[in-house]
Amino acid sequence: MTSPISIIKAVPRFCKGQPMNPKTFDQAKRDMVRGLIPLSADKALRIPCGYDFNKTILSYPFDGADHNVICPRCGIETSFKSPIF
Amino acid sequence: MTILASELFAQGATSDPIDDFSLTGGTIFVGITGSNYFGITTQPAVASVLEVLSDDAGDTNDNITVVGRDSGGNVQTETVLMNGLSAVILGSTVFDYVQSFSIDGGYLGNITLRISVAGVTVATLPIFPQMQKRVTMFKNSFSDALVPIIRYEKMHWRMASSGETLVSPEVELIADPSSRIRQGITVAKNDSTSIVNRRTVPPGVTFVDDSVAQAVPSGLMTAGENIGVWYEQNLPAGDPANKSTFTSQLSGQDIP
Repeated sequence: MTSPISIIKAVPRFCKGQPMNPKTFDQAKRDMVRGLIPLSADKALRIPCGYDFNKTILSYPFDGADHNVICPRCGIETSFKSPIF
Repeated sequence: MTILASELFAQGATSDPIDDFSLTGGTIFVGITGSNYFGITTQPAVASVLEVLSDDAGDTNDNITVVGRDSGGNVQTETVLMNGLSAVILGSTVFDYVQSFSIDGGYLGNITLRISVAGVTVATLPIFPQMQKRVTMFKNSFSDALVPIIRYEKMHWRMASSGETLVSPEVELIADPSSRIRQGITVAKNDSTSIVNRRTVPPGVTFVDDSVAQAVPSGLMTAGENIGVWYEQNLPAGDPANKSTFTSQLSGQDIP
């Protein structure tokens, strides 16, 4: 039987990083949705982080709960829902 | 050869619910003419009469059905027979929000649903690949006055570039303007998992927001493979009605 830990690790997850310019990032997102700039700009407009987010997920119980967390590498605020098995 | 963005398809799952009681998810959907395809390109800015036409004069035998909400929030359905290059007006309904746009058979040209007369395009059924319908997710979802309501629905990203391999594919939630959506990808490609209804948490799925990229297991997608993606919609208590969107992306590299 596959363990919960191996199921989580089967999907590599990485922090995308802080926006380079938080003041213009939200507008850039709106422009992506409207097709004015390519979706790939989401990465280009961030300071790359790459933190292994599975480490954060594995540090919480597998209980289906929501968690608001801060990336230990770049400090961006994010959230996730722990899996249940 | 190069993998084109137009060869990466967002497709529906077999069980595409319209309520909180029906089976949800499953394998990638293959319809009468091909597959359903997620997304309505542009919702009407204001409640509008719609019209449909083809860019091929031979499209005269198929019925088009549009399901959506009128300005009062009521779900309405209207079906019209195509008339080739001539726009056919769906004159019985003023649509404020389109939930699905479907055709009942094969077709010869690109089919366009737009605001009448000759206005903004709402959605297109492309001539290649043929699509049975375009749909939105979380149809007929609603909030509760007192408690949050969380729903889950599934789609699949499919790699369709023949003879090519998408390397290091990632699925990302790019934009979620109303902060109601998170996504979680399945633990294996070509997933068939379903849930008994869309209020049930899919087992083993971790949902993340738009700050986290998720890589497709195995690190490769060959032609015909797909990856299942579950979406979580979280409506807070008393959440007012709104027309919102979210944007998902499958990206990767190809080897020349």
